[in-house]
Amino acid sequence: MILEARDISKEFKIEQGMFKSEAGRTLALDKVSFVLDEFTTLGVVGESGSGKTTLAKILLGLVPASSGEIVFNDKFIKDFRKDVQIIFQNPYNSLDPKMRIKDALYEPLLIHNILPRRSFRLKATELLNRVGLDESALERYPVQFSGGQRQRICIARAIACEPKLLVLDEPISSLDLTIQAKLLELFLELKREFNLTYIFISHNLCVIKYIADKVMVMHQGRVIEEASSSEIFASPSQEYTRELLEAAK
Amino acid sequence: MEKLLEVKNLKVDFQLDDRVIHAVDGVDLRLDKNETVVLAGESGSGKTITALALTRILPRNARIVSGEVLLEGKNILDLEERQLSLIRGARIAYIFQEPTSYLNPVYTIGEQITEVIILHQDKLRKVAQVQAKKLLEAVQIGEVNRVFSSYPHQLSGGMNQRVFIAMSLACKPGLLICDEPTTSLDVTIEAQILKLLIRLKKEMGFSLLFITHNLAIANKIASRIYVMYQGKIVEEGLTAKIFNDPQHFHTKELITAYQKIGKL
Repeated sequence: MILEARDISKEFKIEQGMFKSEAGRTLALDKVSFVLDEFTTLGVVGESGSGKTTLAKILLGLVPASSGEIVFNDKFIKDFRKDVQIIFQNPYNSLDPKMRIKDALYEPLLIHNILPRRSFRLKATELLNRVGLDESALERYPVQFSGGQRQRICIARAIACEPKLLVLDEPISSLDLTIQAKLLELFLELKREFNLTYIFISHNLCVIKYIADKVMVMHQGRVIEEASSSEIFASPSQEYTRELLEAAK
Repeated sequence: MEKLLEVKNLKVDFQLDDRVIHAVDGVDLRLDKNETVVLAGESGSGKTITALALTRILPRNARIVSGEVLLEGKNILDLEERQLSLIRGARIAYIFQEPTSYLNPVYTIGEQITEVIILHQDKLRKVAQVQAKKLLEAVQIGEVNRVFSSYPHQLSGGMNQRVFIAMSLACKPGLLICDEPTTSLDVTIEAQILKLLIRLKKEMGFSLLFITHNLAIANKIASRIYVMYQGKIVEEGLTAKIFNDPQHFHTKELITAYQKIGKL
């Protein structure tokens, strides 16, 4: 076990008018619990608004949970900020447009003090090569790359500090199907190579079937079904899961 | 089959500061009445520019270099702007990927659909409003009256796409061009929208040119597929033939991706 989530709930205020008076509350996550085993991929599926991204943000500590707790196994997660990384859906706004690619890649190396400064360039080149880009990318800016290439850069940046757990929030949804297939292969390779554990969030069941070992189906902030990938796809127990499967056919 | 649309040797160039890009480089297409054809290819292959060139709604720095677009035998690229604007929307209609950004944020849904009907069919406002509500019913919007007086930002992406479809079909076009209409939507909503388009096509009898990078959709709805790559049509054929015996490497790439993650 690398991570355990216990009864995570998240309430958002609905604000109204000029003074942002509280008009109501919405429960984005309702007592979400799960256990994540090391070196596995947990697929999180659900339609938009089901709470997938809120869950990802809470796991990363980017937003606080209203209640519940997240327990990381110290044996695997020694330094939380370094060991848990995230890749977002839209590579167009997760790279700073004014930063050269090399600076984007140097930043995690610098912050986490991974190696001496003189080795940065070599390491950054290695990372780029690993995700299928070459050294010439270092001096360029994000705008000079296509969506698929940008997502590759985000992947390089995420694995720069050798994390243990990678949260992938719809990492390929905004890309072409051909590019999606190539990036999925890359994720599988990296997982083997760096002994990674993934939480893979997607609304696309085909993608989840391809990559996940275990699947968690979310609906309106709740986990309605959780089972091994083969079980979910062969015999879903919930009506909503069946609907999702039907739609993907 | 009766021919509806024929595109011959269409070429579109983009003038950049230092060079010219041949975005569409000699495209030939054919579409029969009541037929559904898919134009497939990766992003940047020129699919969208081809579709936009059909009614000359290209970006400013694009230029149609050569080619003919024959709608029922008549070349519409020769027409003057005013004559062409009578064809746009009325005989050739479009649906785009991001419905919310194509709808006007400061007008209600009702006003926007009504405007299309008044403009193209010269109807009285009252009559047009009744017709607009009927269209919203046809695209299976539950609360017609609420949606009619809503603004686009008050509706979901899937709902806005239904509104957009209603608006596109307001003038009973002969050809509906759908440019990745479901790409930004959830799988469940995507399936609903596809079903809706197929049903409307059966009821109203139009031809469908469907642009996508996902062959799963082609497999569901198309009788024929054109595969586009770097501005050219590199392969065309019946859907079954393309799937069983692809020739071009890009077609094979699209099919591999489909087999891996395009279906369950």
